[in-house]
Amino acid sequence: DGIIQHNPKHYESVSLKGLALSNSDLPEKYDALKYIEKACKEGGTDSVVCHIAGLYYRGLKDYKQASKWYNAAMENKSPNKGILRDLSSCLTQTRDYKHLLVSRLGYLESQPAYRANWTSAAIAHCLNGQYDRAEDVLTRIEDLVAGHLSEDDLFEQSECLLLKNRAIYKQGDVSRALEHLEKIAKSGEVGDGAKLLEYKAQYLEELQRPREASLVYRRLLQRNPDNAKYYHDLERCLGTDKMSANVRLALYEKLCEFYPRADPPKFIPLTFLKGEQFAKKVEEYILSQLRRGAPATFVNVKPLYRRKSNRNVIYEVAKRFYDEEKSKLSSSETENDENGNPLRFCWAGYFLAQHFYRVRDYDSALRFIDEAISTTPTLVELYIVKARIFKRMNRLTEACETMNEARKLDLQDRFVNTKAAKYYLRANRVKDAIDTVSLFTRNEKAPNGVQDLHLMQCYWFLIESAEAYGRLAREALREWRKVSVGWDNKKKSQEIDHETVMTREHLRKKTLHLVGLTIKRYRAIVKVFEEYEDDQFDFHHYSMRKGTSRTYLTMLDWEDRLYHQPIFLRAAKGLTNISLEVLNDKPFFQVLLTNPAFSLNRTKKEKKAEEKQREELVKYSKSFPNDADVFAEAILRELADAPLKNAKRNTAGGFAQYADKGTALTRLTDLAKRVNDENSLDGQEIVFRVNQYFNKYVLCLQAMNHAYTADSSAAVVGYLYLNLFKARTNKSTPETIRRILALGLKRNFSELLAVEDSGDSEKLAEGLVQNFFTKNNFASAENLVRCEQIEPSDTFEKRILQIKQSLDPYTLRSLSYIED
Amino acid sequence: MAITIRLATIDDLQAMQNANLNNLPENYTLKYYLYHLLSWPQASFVATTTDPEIVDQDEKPATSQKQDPQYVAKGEKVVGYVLGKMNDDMDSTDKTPHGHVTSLSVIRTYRRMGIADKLMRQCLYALCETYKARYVSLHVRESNRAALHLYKDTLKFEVLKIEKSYYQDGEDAYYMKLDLDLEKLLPSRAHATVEDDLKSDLPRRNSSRHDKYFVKKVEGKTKIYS
Repeated sequence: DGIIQHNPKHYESVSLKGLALSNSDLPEKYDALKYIEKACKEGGTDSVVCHIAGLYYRGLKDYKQASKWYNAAMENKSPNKGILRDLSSCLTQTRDYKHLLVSRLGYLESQPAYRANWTSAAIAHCLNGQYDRAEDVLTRIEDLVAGHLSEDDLFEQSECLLLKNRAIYKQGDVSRALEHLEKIAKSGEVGDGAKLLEYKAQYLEELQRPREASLVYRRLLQRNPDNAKYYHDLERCLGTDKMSANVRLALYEKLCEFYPRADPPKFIPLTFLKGEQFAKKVEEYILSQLRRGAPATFVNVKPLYRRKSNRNVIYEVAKRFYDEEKSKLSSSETENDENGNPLRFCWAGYFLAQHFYRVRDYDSALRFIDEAISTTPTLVELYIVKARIFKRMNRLTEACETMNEARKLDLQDRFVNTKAAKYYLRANRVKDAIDTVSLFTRNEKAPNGVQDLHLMQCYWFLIESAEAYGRLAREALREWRKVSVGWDNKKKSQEIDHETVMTREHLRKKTLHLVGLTIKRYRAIVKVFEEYEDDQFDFHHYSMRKGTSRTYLTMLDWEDRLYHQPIFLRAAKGLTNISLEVLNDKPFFQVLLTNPAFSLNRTKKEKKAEEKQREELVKYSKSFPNDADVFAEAILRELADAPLKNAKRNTAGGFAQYADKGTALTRLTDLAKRVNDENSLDGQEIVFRVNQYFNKYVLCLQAMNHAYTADSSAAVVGYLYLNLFKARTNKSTPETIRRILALGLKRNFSELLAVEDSGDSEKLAEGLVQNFFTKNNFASAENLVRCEQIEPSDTFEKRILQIKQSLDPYTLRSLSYIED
Repeated sequence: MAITIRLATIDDLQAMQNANLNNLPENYTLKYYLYHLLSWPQASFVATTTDPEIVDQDEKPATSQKQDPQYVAKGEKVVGYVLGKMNDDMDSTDKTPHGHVTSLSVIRTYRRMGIADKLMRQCLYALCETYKARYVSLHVRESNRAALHLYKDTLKFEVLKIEKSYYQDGEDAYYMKLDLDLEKLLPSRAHATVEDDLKSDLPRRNSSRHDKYFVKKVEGKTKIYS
C-alpha cells in the first residue's frame, strides 16, 4: 500500500495487492479483481504484472485466463522460467495441447537436468499424436541417464521405458515394439512384470503369432488365475473359442487342475455347455458354493438365466439340495450333526428366493425367504433379500423396516447400514435415512452426517436424496395445485378461517423447500464431479516427477469422459427436469415463492412452533457449514425470474448466446454442453430439451439424430420426435425453421413424415408406437406417458395400459410420479 | 459371472471410493485414490462382476451401463478392492522399501469366496515385484475378526504391536507385517498342486480327438496342438 500511495502507477504493486486480497479473508477480498484488471490494463506489458495476473486467475481456477497471462508474462520476457511449468498445467487443464508442446519444450530447454522435464515433453508429443518425436525425446534422456541411475530412480526408469515402448507401438510398427519390449525385458529394468507380458501377448497376436501369444497368456494366468479376461484371450489365441463345447471343456478342465481355487475356469464352461453336461457342471458349481455358504452363489449364476432353458435346471439343482437339507434338519436333533446344518438350509432358501425374484414370482420368493428366516433369524443377508422383494412389490414401508431389522442385527457393519439408509430414501423417509446413515459418519461439528457425506463426495447418498426430495416435491406440488384452485376468489369472499390460511402457508413453504432441496442435492452431485475435474490439476506436474506417465494419460482420458458417466447423466437428467419444470411455468413458481400479501396473524405459539420446525429442517438439510442458501431458494428464484425465453430470437449460434443472461440459465446450458455425448441417449435428451427451451429446433433435430443413431428404436427418440412435431406445427415457429426441419427429418424419419402428411394424428401415434414403443419396459412407458401429456391419443393410452401389465409394482410406482 | 480380479484403473476409482463409503468408516476424497494410482499404478486391484455372452442366449446382456455408482462398465460392478502403496512417510525410521495396504474391502454379499485373499495376493506380488518391497505392513481394527483371520491365518502376517486408539473412534489397531519373497508369492502357487509347465499343449488330446471340428481345425493352418 505504501508504494501504491507513493506511486499509483507502480502496477506490480497494484496487481500484487489484488493477488494478496484474493488470497485473504478480508472483506475487501472481492475488490481483488479491480486491482488485477487495473494493473493488467495499464501495465500489461510488465512481465511481473502478467505473472501475478496468471497466479490470480489460476487461484480462481480460471485456467484459460491464467494461461493467457502466463503466456503474456513469457512474451514480455519474464526471466522466471518456472512460469512455463504452471502454464503447462493450465494448458493441459484446458486441453490446449498445441500450446502445451511449446511451453513444455521451452521449460525443458531451460531446465534439461531434470528427467521429469523430458518426460513432460514426451507426453506433450504423445498428446499431439507425435509418437515418433516422443520416442526421440525419451531415447535422448535414456542415453543421458545411462549409468547414473540410483536405486530410487529405478521405478521412474521402468515407467519411462514402458512409455517409450507404447510410443513405438503407437507409431504402428508392432514388430519393432516387440523387439524393443524384449530388449527392455531382458535388461531387467522394468519392474512391471504383468505389463511386460500383456504387451508382449498383444504384439504377438497382432503379428499373427497366436501360439506364442497363448504361451504368454498362460504365464499371465500363473500370475493371476482369477482374471477372466486372460482366459478369453487364451482361447482366442488357441482358436478354441470357435470350437465345440467338448474341446473347450477339456481345456478348462485342465486349467482347473492348474488353478483349483480360481473361479473363471469353473464358471466359463457354464456359458457354453448345454444339456446333461451343463446340468452336471452347474450342479458342481452351485453346490460347492452353497455348502461354503457364499451369499453370492445365485448372483454368480444369474447371467446364465439369459438362456431360458437353464433356469429350470438351476432351480432343480437348488431345490434338490434344499429338500435334502430340509429333511436332514427335521430328522436330526442335534445341530452340530453333519447331517443337519440349518445354515446350509438357509443359504439354499436364500438362493431359491432370489431365483423366484429373478423370474418375477415375488410371492414364492417371499415364502422361501420367510422360511429361511424362521430357521435362522440372525442371518443379515436373508433380510437384505427379503427387503428387496418387498421393495419390488412396492411394499416400501415393510421393505425399509425389514432392512432396518437387518441393520440392527449387525450394528458394526456399514454395508447394511448403507442399505437401510438407501431403503429409507426410496420410501421417501429422508429423516430416518439421515439418522441411520449418521451412525457411521463424522459428525464432530454437525448435527448429523449430511455435511460429512457432502465433503466425502458420497454421491450415492446425494442422488438418492435428490430423487427422494424430487418425489416428495412432486406430491407437494400436486397438493399445492389443488389448494391453489380458486384460492383468490375464496380469499376475497373471506370465507376462509385462520387455520386454512396457515395450512396453505405451511404447504407453500414445504413445497418450496422440497423443490429447492431437490435442486440443491442434484447440484451437489455436479459439484462433486467438478471437484473431480479439478483434482487432475496437481497431477499435470506430479505425475511427470513420478514418471507414471502411462497412467497419467489414462487419467486425462477419464477426465475427458467424466460428465458422460451414466451416474452423472442420471443426476443431470433429474436436474434438467426440475429446472425446466420451473422455467416452463414461471408464474406458478413465482406465486410459490411469494410471501402471502395478507397478514397471517400468527399467534406467538404458532410462530414459535414454526421457528422450531425450521431449525429442525435446517439441521437435516444443511450441506456445508456456512451454507447461506440451505433450501436453494435463491437458485429457485433465479430460475423463476429468468428472462423470457424468446426475449431475443437469433437462429445462429445455439444456446451459448444466452450465457450472459442470468446464471441459472448459464448453468443449464453448461450442463447440456457437458453431457453432450453423441452416443448417449440421456445426454442427447438433455441437449434436446435445453435447446427446446430456447427454441433452438435445428439443434434439437441434431440431438434427436444422434439419439437415433445411438439406438434407432429407443423410446426417447419417439418422445423427442413428437416434441419436434409439435414445434413444427406450431404457428409461431418461423417458416424457414420448419422447412429446415422437414428437410433434416427426411434422412432418418421419412416414413413417419409420410404418416404425418395424412393429417391423422392417431396414425402418427401408431407410427411412433410401432417404431419406438414396442418394448415392455420402463423407458417405453415413461416416454409414452410423456407423449400422452403433450398429445393425448387413444393409441398412446392403450399402449401404456398394455405395458403397465408387464411392469412390476415398484416400477409402476416410479411411473406414477411422471403421470400427473 | 462370477468374479474377475484385475489391476485397478483410473476408471475404477470412483467405484472404489463408493465401495469404501458403503463398507468402511475411514473414507477419503477421490484425490487420495488418484494419488495412489498415479504414484503406484501397479499396487491396487479390484474384483468385479462380469456379464458374459451365453451360447444360445434368449436375452441379451445389458445394453447399457447401470446408473449406479458401483458400476464401471456394462455388467461390471466393483465388489471389492485393495488400495496399496509404498511407504511414503519421510519421517519413517525404517528406510527399507516397504509397502502398506491403505484400504481393503469386499462387499458383504460377496464374501466367503476368497476375494479378499485373492486381492491381497495380487497386491503383495506387485508391491514386491514392481516396487521391490521387502515387507508390507497394515493396520486392522481390533474388532475385525474376518480381516484378522485373513491376514494372520491365511496370509501369515505377524502382529508387531497394538496401537492404542489408532482409529478416529478410539478403537485400537493391530499393526501387522509380512516379509515378502517373490518366489513364494506367485498367486497361483498358493493352492496349486499341478503347475502349468508352459510347454505341453493345453486341452487333453484324447478327449478332443473325437471332435470333428477340432480335427479339421488342426489340419488347417493353426496347428496349435501338433
